[in-house]
Amino acid sequence: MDFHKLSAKEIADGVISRKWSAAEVLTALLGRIKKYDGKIKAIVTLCEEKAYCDARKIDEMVSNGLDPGPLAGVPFLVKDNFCTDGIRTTCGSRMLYDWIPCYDATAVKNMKNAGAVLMGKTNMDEFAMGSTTESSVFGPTLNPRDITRVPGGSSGGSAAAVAAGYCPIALGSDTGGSVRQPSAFCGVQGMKPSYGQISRYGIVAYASSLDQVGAITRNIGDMALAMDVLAKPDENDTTCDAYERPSFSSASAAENLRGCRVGILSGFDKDSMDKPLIEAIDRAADFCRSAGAEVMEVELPVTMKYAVACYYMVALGDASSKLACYDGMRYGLHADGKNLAEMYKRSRNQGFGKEVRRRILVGTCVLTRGYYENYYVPATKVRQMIADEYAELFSRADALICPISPALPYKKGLVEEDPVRIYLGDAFSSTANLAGLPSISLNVGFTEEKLPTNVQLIGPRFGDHGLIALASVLEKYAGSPDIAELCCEGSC
Amino acid sequence: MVRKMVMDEERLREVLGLSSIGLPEEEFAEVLDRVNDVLRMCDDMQELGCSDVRPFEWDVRKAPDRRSDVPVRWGKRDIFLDQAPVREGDFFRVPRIIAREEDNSCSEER
Repeated sequence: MDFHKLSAKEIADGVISRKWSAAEVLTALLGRIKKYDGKIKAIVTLCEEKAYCDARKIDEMVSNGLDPGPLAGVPFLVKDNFCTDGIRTTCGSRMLYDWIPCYDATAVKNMKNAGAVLMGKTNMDEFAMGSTTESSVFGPTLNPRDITRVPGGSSGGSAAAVAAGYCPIALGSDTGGSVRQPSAFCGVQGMKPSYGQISRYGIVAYASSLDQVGAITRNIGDMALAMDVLAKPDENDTTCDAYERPSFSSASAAENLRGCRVGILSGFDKDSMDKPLIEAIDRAADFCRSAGAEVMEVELPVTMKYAVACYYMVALGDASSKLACYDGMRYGLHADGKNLAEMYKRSRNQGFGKEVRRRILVGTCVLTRGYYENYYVPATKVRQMIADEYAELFSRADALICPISPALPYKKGLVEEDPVRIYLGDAFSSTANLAGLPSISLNVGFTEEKLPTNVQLIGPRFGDHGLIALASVLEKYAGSPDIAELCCEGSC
Repeated sequence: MVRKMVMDEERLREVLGLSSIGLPEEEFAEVLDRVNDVLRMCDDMQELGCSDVRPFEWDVRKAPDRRSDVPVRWGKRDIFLDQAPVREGDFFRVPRIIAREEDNSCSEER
């Protein structure tokens, strides 16, 4: 049985009906990781022993006639900034290289409570600051669709793992596109839910008012299943809303888009985009029409012009204060110094990589006198204008379709050549974080060179179920993406 | 009013000190350029007349229940102690913090 080709639902159904065991599935997927990850490098830590222990518990429950949950025996991976009890959590940084948390993040706990089996942790840009998964202390992850290109980031390890068939569901965190852009680069489906939909407890923060947990899968049915498991109130996260969530799986059963109004973003510089990504938007619009939706062109002038600047001011200001806790004193890397200031400086210099230090500097700068009034405060106001612009749009439309990234997967090494160009790549994705909106990166095909072309779907706040319904219908037309053809075994 | 700002060397040294980050002299000019690149990218935002706009805040559909205000014993004392950069028996060993702050320079000393 080719377990790596099965969806999460198919694996769970087979485990519950005793067609196969959770341990059998685990063995097959761990075998695939060992065979291929020497080259791809999506995984930074495997927890085989714990995983077998959990898988056997699931099999035992099934044998005893108990229900292990909707993800019974489904192996999953999580980005290395999710706290995992007894398993090191590094954030891709030398700073936390051997840090082992003593509790699970709520998202991880919810997955396990639903019967899923944690196999390990995935690579990421250091402290989630990046779009290429090249800045990790473990070295870069490669894109399984084309190993000369990056997998995107910062959740590049999770997206690469799902594309490579290591697991049907992986979790990531998304501050400005970090789940959706790597999903686009690796040709899989990725969702950033509304802010407040999933608990952030136990996720190492980058920017707390923007961060959100998201699932990466190969089909929208599995995405909906993951959302049913993950989206729950949590007394440990006061920003996690307590409203009663609808069934996301029911939403994914939508058949058509009759009565649905879909806006297609226009008024941005199409010439600076890779052409296949513009064609992907046109294709998605055609699918909408075929499914019975009313399609109209819409513009977001303030959002498109100012989102990246606003995003970087808010995110980096937040990050500089969040990362101040890494002082070499309480946890993380420690370096001696002849006085306190020198000890802080040495610990942070040795612990943080170049991009993280660069972002802390900018963040600290915008919180200092003069810059705070001229950059940070205006950014918090522009953020409100962006949220208002979206609110007005969603009074006329049920969803928006726009690009997720202006470019196809980058060739390796671009980030060091031109970091500002990489920052500008967040122009489309960061808008959903600023306004707290749900957003899905949906694959609608591949180029002749077999590079994925995804589009971004955005919906109103807490309209996550409607967005899943839209994505599910569009996926019926586009087809769900296949697993990447891996030709590189081991460390070849 | 639009106030475009450029970071100079003196201000960068001040920010390096505030963020407890050191920088080798040979990287100084490059980092200064990069910081100014980002500030330039953000200058346009000041063109927007947003003095009457309120700063962004989240709206909540239903506030979550608060945890009971009672201490929780985790029983993981050793695990916490093991996370200390330097452990000495049952204690976190921390550096001596009463010291003369003689060196406020931002140059990297590894």
